[in-house]
Amino acid sequence: MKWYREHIRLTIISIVLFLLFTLTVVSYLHQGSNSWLGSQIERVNVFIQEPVSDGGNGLADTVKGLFLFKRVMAENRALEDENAELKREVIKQALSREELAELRDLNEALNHESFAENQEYVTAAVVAMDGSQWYRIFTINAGSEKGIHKDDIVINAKGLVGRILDVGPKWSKVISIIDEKNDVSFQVFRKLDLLGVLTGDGKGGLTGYMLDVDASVIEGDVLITSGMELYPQGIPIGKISKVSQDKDALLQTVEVEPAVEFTSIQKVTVILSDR
Amino acid sequence: MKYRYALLFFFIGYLIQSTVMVHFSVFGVSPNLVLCLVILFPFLYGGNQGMALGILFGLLQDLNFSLIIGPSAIGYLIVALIMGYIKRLLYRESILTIFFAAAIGTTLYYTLYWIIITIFGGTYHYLYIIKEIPILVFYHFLIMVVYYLLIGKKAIRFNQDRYYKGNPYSYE
Repeated sequence: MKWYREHIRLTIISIVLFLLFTLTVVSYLHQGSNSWLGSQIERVNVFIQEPVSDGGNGLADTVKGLFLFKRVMAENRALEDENAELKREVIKQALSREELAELRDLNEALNHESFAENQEYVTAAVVAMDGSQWYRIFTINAGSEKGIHKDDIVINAKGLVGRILDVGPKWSKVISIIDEKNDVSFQVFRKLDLLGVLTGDGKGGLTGYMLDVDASVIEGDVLITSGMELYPQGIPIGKISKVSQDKDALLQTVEVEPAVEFTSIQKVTVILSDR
Repeated sequence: MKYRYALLFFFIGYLIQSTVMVHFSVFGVSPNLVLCLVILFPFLYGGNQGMALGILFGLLQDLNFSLIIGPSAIGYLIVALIMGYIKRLLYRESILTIFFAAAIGTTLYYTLYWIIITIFGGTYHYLYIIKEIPILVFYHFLIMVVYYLLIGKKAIRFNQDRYYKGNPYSYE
């Protein structure tokens, strides 16, 4: 006892360290679930972070706009060209509209519900993201009050972002696909019968393998979700950056550059699950 | 430094880090302002402020941005402790010393963080972390120099200063 009194600082630090390790173990065992206290802290956090984040985003956009004027102009020209191309595409697509109408009639007759027509979406802004950590976990300003549930899918304009990790009334925490331990099944957009499985590579990207060893995939191929598990079909995941043959495991492995830039997400869309 | 001012600095640092700092990322790496304060506080002021507030804001950071709660808090605690010991060996009135503090503190924190995360099932490679550390060290050094020149330098009281009565927050 005398030793503890003489080394009170060391004793306190040791106790605090022990408590923190215990907390780490407990939170690891109950991953994804939040306590009442944690939920309230998150609520206050979001309340404070939201206006600061809004102000920061606005300021960053203005400053970037000033410095990147030339790039914005070039982007504008590229978008105009793309717009013209899309208009031509719309005309082409209109021709098959009648065919689609016929297929929908057939769907109704067979009582078949398609995924896209029955999904509801919620758009939310990113209010907190810590770029100094490796985990790309961030907070958005929409929660259970808007119908969001745990494991709902999160996308943005560029593609698949991840899924909902935790939900509060007015906030949700999103975990990105690069941090996921769960596999994401994909299909190659160029040839939809080429299938594979992806997972985070521990370096901020994605890695995976093709189900068919002889699948003819090439660098630059766009991958989309195949809809075989959690993630619905047709969401862009990224582009293949490297294809290699793992002769030992008889696998064709791919490295994938995610479509989404996880460090600069400002808006996301949550696909509400039907519960 | 009084605890309320220290708390204010940490709070502002945490708020900026979690909201607007992603816009100032270099090669996709954003600085960790809370870590900068955790390194600087024991170094400049002594005492336990850096450690106590590091634990508090580390827990907040983990709650917000991590799958498990605790790694950041443990990392900040150990970094603050080691900085408290290192400052005795280094001359505090030099910018070069701040660079050493930034390099040691940043490398130590991210290595500790990686070890804890890996123990609890993390999949990140240490090489990926090592690649980011030089950028982080440089970024943290710049932030710490700015803090030191604008705020830190004014608040340092050295033993040889006239009327110095000791640091009431330090156990030394």
